[in-house]
Amino acid sequence: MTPRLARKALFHALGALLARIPGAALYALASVATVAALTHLVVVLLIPEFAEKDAFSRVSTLGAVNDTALLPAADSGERQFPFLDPAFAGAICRYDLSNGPLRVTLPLGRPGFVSLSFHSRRGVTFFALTDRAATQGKLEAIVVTPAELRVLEAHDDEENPSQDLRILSPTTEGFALARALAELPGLAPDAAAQALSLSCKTEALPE
Amino acid sequence: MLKPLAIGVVGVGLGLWSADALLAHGGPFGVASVGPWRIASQAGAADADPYERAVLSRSGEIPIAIGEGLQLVARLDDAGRKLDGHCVYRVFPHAPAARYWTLGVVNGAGFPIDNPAHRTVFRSSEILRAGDGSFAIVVSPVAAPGNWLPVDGVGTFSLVLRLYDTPLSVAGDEIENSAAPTIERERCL
Repeated sequence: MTPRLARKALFHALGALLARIPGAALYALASVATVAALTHLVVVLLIPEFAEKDAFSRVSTLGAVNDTALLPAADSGERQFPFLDPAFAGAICRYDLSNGPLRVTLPLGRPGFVSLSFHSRRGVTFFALTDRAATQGKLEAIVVTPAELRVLEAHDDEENPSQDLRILSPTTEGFALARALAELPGLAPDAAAQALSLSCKTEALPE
Repeated sequence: MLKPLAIGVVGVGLGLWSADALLAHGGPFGVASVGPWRIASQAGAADADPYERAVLSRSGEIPIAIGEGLQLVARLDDAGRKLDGHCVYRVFPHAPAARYWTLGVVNGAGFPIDNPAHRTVFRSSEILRAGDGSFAIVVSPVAAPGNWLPVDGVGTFSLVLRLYDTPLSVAGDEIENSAAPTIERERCL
């Protein structure tokens, strides 16, 4: 039987079956299906809000706010962050913008692929750049909340515009991640040193 | 009195089960495929669908951002068979355009599978190539000459191809089948 014929036969059988079921049972079936669909949707939508082992929670165990910490290497046997590339070293710093904007700096000490990405409390990667976007030998950005961005813009000097790259964080908390490629297995220590040059500092807002 | 209770219990149970079953397989939407390779195109993006976000918040994965590169995952070979740790595979001859790429072996949860050689990944910057620039990486439980990526006595596994600084995007159909490497099963032991 072709799949199409088989499907047709299945539908016919289902139809015949449904016609035989008494109304009350049909009503019960429909109720079960409705409850199941609602539960399914609510669970899927609520998981990110209540997840206790999401990336941010796992990153939080590595260091205090604004501290730079090495991510466990992908092949270290530590099973915290799946799908990390074993060819890379990674370093993170966790931030909290409630005390002011955050200046993130990653000086590039060696050629090769390096990236800097920004992740919200809810797991959204809201910005990323690679070493190709480096200026003056470093990747640098200021992470701000919408309110902090308004204050900074109010103090902008039109004659002498700020050179800073300002990135709007969708959540007050989050983390920055520096990734550095070890082009050869023996270069892993160099890549780790490159990733660890990540620095995160809270800045004061202009009065 | 008993009937509404039964409907509630069965309904909630079915809802929980179906959500868990769907999320265990990485979410149903937002996936593009190139031959045997699949790309979770929206992973970590601000407009990721709810399933993708739920999957990420459970696994703890920090996905590669669109500005950094692309991650392609294959669970099957070119013929559609599950990748089996008892078989010998050849991955060749070209990778899509990228400044760097890496090819690694992971288990079902996305963690590298360690082996005595401590070789869990090959980088584009270290592999041996033929004169015309093409390559072949042999994924096998037994040693092979050239680029040998060991799989050590595991059941099924996945291959992960990561492209860094790639001009490719998944927004359109820009990735052609011919650009992604072939995964050919040579024999099983």
